[in-house]
Amino acid sequence: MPQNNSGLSHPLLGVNPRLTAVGLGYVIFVAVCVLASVWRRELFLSGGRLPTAIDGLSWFVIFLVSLSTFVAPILYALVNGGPGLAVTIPLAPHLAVAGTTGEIAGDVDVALALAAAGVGGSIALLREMLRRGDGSLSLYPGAVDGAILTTAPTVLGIVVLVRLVGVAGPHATTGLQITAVLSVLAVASLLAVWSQILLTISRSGFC
Amino acid sequence: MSEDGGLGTSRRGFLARLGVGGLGTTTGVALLWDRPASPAGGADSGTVSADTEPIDESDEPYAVWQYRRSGDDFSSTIPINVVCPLETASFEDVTDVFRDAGWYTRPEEYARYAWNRGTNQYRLQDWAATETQFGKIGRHHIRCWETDGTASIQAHVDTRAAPGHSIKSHADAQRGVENLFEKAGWQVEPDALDFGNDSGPDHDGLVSVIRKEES
Repeated sequence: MPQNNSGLSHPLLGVNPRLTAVGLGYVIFVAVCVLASVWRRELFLSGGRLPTAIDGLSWFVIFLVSLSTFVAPILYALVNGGPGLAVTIPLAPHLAVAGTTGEIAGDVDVALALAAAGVGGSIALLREMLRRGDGSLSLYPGAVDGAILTTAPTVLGIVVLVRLVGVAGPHATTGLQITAVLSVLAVASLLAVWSQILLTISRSGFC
Repeated sequence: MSEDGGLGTSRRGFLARLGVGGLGTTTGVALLWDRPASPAGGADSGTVSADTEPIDESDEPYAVWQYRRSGDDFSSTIPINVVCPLETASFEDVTDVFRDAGWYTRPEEYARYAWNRGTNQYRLQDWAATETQFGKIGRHHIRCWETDGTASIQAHVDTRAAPGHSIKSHADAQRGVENLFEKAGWQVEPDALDFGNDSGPDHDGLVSVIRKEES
């Protein structure tokens, strides 16, 4: 494994520092676009009108957020195996809004992001454990941190999903179903990770 | 492989990490425990008449259509479907109903305009709110304008992002807004106004009138 002092080789971020840099750059780019959309009146309003190009920004933000929820976490986990960053990718747009406006609630968008974080993080962990174990699951320094970092959004996603059933309205049903499928995937992958952790602990006489 | 089987942490370190994870999850649950209950439900899809003549923008203090700007040109897109006379309420009282229901105000998504009879000018939406921040999979979405001393609302249900949004329903959202205001103690007039601004997929040209009951 390449070791350098750039900080980009931390196992939570990813395996290949170059891909890690791409992943981090993507997260920052998405957050900046989301914030530009959030603060568009302050940034772009002139004479009671907004430039029509801002509509393009609105469209692009929705596109990026969909990508960050449904595609990017899994893709990143598969190619670069960093659970910390795979968890951050779907959550970043929501954190950007919540962090600057204070507006956040357990809605279906947030539930989807949390479940996607669970899937991305757990696939990253499994991919890295398989790579290091040459085909069998093997723990590595940082795997426990990754497992905890992934379990938290997975559990949260399930809590939000359960809270939403019955109050989210018929138009959100598909979103809840997708959240449920993603949650099942995340839980199944995490069970494999945690059983390896517990097995290792019991073997090493740690408890 | 190291003595700890690759765990990379001591027992103490492991338990500390579990503690931090548990604390983080609990904090998250506390932050996300509130969730916006959707006002959806009970809408009869309106019949859209193709040959209805819409009223003129100058006939009412309310706005009739939502407009998209392109340079100095404005073209109508979708119909206003809820109005508030603001005789006994302020514009802020109207927006507070959505705010209190836990709707988001940012990001606002597309910039849209309405005709303001009082100033003879198109006016950028004064306020917008949505049920979810980005509308990944369907949500209620409203825009409000304060025109000529009244409030006009365009309410619709978005389709899922594919990746842009389009209109799934006007009628569901109109009924949803009525539900929300009724719950907040406002009065929905039994007689709707006929703007004739019929639009697909399901707006029948009838606009709900909502007023705050005098206390």
